[in-house]
Amino acid sequence: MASSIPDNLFQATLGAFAIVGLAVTIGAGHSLITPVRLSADWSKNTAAADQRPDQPVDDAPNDTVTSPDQPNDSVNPSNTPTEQADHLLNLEQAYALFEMGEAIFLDARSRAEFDESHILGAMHLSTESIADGSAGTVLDDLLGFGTDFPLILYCHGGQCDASENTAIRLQDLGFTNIRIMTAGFEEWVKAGYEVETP
Amino acid sequence: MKPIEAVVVTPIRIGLGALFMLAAYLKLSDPQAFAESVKAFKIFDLATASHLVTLATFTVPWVEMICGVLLVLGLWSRAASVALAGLLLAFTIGIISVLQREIDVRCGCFGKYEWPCTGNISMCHVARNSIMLLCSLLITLRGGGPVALDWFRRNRSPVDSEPQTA
Repeated sequence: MASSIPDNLFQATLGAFAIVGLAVTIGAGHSLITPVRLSADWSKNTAAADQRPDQPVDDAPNDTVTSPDQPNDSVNPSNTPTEQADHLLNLEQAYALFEMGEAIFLDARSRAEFDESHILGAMHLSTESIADGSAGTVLDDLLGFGTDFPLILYCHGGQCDASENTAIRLQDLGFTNIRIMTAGFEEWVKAGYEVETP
Repeated sequence: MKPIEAVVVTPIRIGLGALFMLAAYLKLSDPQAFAESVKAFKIFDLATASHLVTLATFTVPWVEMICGVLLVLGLWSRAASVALAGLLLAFTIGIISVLQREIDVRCGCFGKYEWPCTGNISMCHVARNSIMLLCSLLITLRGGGPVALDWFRRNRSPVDSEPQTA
């Protein structure tokens, strides 16, 4: 005898719960085999410890740039050294390093946005390009500088996660001197700093 | 089921199943990238509920994979389509929430194959999900059609499975 539609739907819903339960079980096992990282591990980052003491503060265009003896109030208002704040750069700090040429700027936005315009001399490096292998040349170039060479990542600023996601991938590849420009590309442009438009 | 329905439902079932198998494969081949997509939706607070991001990262693709395989085989098609409909509904609500909060997020639904909706999340993704949701509901209501294990299971004559009497 044919079942009615409500009966079929009830059975189908029970079956759907069984499928989801099976997926949760398999997924939980999978997560143990292949863990994912949701945030970068800044405790192993050498940016604050090794890079900042070398910065000639007098050359910086803005006195908010951090020196070894002067904690950065704008990043860490409480003057308490934290691992969290050490890897974050505001616009002026990033520009100071840009002018000194002591860091490589990496654009973590999409390829199309990078092609439209980017910080002068920046390279494109996104999580997608690392994952699909198209960033091979850029990564080879970066490895040529050494894994402890200062790298500054930027995206749109604000709620943009692309910089930190790319930092996670770079840390997995062994890079240890990574910082994030929190301001984002739009603020860089607004400040009138140098950009490159192919 | 009328012949015309069978002609419509069967390719939709197989196509939808294959599509979700592809989506699941792309997510499972790079869980880190999908975790980034889940995180970018900012539905879960990373400070307090990072385990939910991890759970979603691994559960969603496995639901897609199981449902995709079942739909292609035509086994438990209604159950698989109900599960997919629930998933698509959750995705669509998430996408609408992202649009309302004006966050720039890439979907991550089909890895780098985001046809026809390229770029950041937009109403195109809502429309795409709605079409897939309608397909799921069609299978839920009409079943998997012929050329499906369900159909053979249902139409197997009880006489065939019993020893014939002289």
